[in-house]
Amino acid sequence: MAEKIKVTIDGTEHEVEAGENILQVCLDKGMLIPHFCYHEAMGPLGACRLCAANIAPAADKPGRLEMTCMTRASAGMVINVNDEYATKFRKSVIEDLMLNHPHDCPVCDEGGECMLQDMTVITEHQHRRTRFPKRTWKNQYLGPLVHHEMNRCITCYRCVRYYGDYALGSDLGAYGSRNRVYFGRLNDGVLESEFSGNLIDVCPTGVFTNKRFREVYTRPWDLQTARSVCVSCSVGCNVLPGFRHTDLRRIKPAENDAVNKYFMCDRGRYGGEFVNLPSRLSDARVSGTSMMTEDGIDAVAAQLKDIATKHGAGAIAGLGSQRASLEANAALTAVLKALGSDRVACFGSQADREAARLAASITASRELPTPSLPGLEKADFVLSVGGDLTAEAPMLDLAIRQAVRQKAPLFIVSPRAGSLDKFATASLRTAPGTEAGIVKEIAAGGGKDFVAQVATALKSAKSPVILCSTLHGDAALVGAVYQLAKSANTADRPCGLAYYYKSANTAGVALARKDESPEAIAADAKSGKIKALVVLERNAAAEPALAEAIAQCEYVVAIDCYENATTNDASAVLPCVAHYQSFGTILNFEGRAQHFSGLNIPGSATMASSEVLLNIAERLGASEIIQGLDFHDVYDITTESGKAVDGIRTGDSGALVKSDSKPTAPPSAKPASTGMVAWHIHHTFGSEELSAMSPPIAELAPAAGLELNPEDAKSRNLSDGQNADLTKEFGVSGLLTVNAGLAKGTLGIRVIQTAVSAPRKEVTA
Amino acid sequence: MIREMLTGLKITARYMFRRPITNFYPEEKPMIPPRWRGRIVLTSDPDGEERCVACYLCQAVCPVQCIDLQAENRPDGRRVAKRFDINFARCIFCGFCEEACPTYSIQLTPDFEMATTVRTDLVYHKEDLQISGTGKHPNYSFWQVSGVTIKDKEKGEAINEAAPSNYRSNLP
Amino acid sequence: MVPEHIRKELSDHCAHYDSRRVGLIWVLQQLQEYYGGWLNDDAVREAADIVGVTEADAEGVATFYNWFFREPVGENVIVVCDSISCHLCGCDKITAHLEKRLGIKMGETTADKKYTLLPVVCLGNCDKSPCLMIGDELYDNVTPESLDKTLDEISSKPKAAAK
Repeated sequence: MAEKIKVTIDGTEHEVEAGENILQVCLDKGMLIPHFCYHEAMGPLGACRLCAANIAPAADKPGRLEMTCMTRASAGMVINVNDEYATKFRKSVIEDLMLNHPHDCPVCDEGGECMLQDMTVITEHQHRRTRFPKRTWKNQYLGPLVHHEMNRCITCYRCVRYYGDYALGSDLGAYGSRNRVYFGRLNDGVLESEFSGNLIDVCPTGVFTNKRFREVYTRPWDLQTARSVCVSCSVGCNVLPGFRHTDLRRIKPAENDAVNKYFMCDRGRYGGEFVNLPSRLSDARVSGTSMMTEDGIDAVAAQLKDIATKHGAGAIAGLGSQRASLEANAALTAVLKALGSDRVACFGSQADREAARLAASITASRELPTPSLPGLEKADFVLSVGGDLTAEAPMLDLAIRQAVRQKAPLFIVSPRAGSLDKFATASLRTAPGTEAGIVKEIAAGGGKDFVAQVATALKSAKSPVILCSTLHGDAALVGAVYQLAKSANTADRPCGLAYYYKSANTAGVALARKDESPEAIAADAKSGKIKALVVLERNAAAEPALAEAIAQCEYVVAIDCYENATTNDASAVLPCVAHYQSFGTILNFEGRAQHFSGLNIPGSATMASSEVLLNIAERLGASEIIQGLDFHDVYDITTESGKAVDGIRTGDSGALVKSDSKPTAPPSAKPASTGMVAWHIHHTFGSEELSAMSPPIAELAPAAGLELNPEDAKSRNLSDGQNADLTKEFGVSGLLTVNAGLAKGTLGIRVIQTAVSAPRKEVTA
Repeated sequence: MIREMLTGLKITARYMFRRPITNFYPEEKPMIPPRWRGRIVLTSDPDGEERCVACYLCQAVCPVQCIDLQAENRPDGRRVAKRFDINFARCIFCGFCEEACPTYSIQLTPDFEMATTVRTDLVYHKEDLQISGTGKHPNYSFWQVSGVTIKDKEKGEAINEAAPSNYRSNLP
Repeated sequence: MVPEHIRKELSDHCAHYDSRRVGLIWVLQQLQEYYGGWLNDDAVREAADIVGVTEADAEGVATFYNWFFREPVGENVIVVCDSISCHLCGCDKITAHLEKRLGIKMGETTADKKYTLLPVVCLGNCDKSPCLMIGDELYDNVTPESLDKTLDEISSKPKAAAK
């Protein structure tokens, strides 16, 4: 803690930390000094000259004009923001910045949340006195996400400082000098960074604006917003989805000190348009007849009761959802309990289930510290194992980039090179299934080359962090990483360990007390033992392990927000609202329970999936079960602070959950296979179920297909761009891409959700 | 009491011999001052294109929230109102919208004859509001002074704009 | 592309600094000389590659400085000072004379690719205004007559061997 000192700001004495940035001090205290180039995430630059104030080192010393962002607080300092000369100076700076501003506020998408507008009003600049012609620029095409309007630029350099320095992107630059500075790419083209959408928030004017929002533009003050949590991955970034009329118009990051502060990834920002799909469900459908949701609930409850009485309680099972809230999954168990059954499966395969449940129980045991996003940024050693962070948990990637900027060594062990690999100190390409062995070697301390390098770096690190993917169903790896972190964890040097998951609430459902292997339920459904399946917010018909079961099961109830393969097949469909209109609690990768809230908009369903299920349970006469429904009975969780999980409010920092049970021993690693192993390649865009349906994400998604290492391709006489038929061995075929960044002995299968990229729904009157 | 009655009768008698002041409306139209705040219209640019750029400012300023619109981008680069509704059943003709309009599009006219027996007819849509004239500001064209590109007006071609800069130029 | 040995020399030079990026200006200077006085897109890309910075970064530096030319220039670049001292001492006349004699406007290159005419702000030689530079040579107290003489001399010189 820095020393506390006293400074005088505009005649009032304030206590601040020595050496603190004066501008930040004033902003924190609610005094708005006009500024442009300063951004808390990127620090001061002193480029815009707008934050000037009269600063004297002591009361009896003469003051002079200084940039507050570039001045550090020292004891006795006297700061006069409202000094006459400083005020005049700020006004003249704005006048200069406005010289070439293009007079297009009425059609500018920044209007209403534009810093330049605000600062111009604050400084009371009104008339452009010069008569010289305005400088103009040509715009660039920057892809489907970001719109470029260079004329509005005031050269604060925030964009390049964010894009290049903060997010470590390489294709946006500042060119030229003097009054001729241009911010853009070298040529027209799609911005390469997965975090390019943040340019929109970072830019204080309208140079970078949201291209999707632009198409259905509405002023920010007209948007209806309810604070929510992103559903696109397991990081759980806080977001502000904005609705107007019948549509979701845009998503912006919401500040939360414990998770994301200013930024979010493009998948989260642009992936929310699934809410607007023409295929969103608004009515119930029972045996082909469309009806009101309430009537549908009646029909479904009656049918389920009928099946339970006819075939016994064991004839009904539920398929829980990794993207639905804890409440919804708990309500599903309540429905089943009312029918006398307790059979639920939340995962897509036994391997996924084992890996996720082990990882979640390790995290929730709180034996090892789990780093939050701000914590990750301060790590001085990062080891990423088993997956591609950028694709599987994008914001973890951005946090690690901050650690890399602070010269933290980054090591990656995975079967395929991702976009984080170019910042890695060293990365090791290894076939799927062999990662656990390597992690064990690192833990053992011996080895050479890569293993030795990692072990040495880990030993000398002060705040190391290990990240591991659970998306590839490798429980042995999850266990091995746990052992490594445990061995590296000492009292004076905690070793952070974080697992990341497939969906927004995978960590939550992985802590459910009752959860079966999906294969067991599928087998029973196929044999006819299970007569009815209640599928909660899940496209189970598209999952290999369950597709047949769904097709053969007598009675399938699908509860979802949009039409998919499962709702098409189902005997009864009950609509629920999409995530951003819904409410509930979800657990992110660090086991942080966060509450999200939503709002009802016309043209869609009216109930959240949890409400639909509770209504069914009520119709089944199970009010007692509903009354007694407790999170802690359904999930093996309590909060660390003792706060009830359902007492968490939207927008607070949530609560880290704790589990009482000790992590179970991981299954021993499968013997490394000598042949080729299939591995699912997740992409930032297109691999996640919901966001993949959003048109801009679908546009950026790569084509589905297969990938092979050049050597493997050669040995199989396959070449790039060829149609590879591996149906016999792996049951897949597709267009082959030869990728030198793929480990030998790996067959990469790109997971690309077949996006229903229907045109955006018309804005109805 | 008789005295009071007589006072009243005196006034009546005085008015009996005055000329009647009845206006024969609607046969005789009254003189309405040109700056009267009556029926709202959306005017057009001198080049005949619609002036409204759907900036939402009239909607924001409207104290009774009788304006509702939705913007869209036309293929020629112009932003226009896809939908523009004014509910005259609610409008109080305060003229704030006209003051807020940055493009001189929305204007109040000296017309008040909008009575109807059907309430929903008082919701005027864009086609009811749009006129082809320029109204009170005959020469202003927003698109010609703003730095946004539209069809037939590239960057640097607006009023008082320099040709697009080139940061690679050898000239300073 | 520059030959491998020059490339290696440039790359080795960058290794002298704590951060390779420091060598960028020097590399750009060498490449500008190599590529006939100006930097084309390939040269900037090559510089970025040699130094190990992003192309956007190299372009930023190449367009920031006056003496990096990102557009083609002639064999001799004439820069005429138009700052205060030179302006008072009649640089306008000099510029007009040059434009007339060479038949080009400011910023243009003669058809024979011999001369490029550019303005500059102060050559630090104000006591001997008006002044200008042709290539690396500084000429002070310039008059139209002295300028003619100088240009005649340069024109009569054989063309420098192309690299």
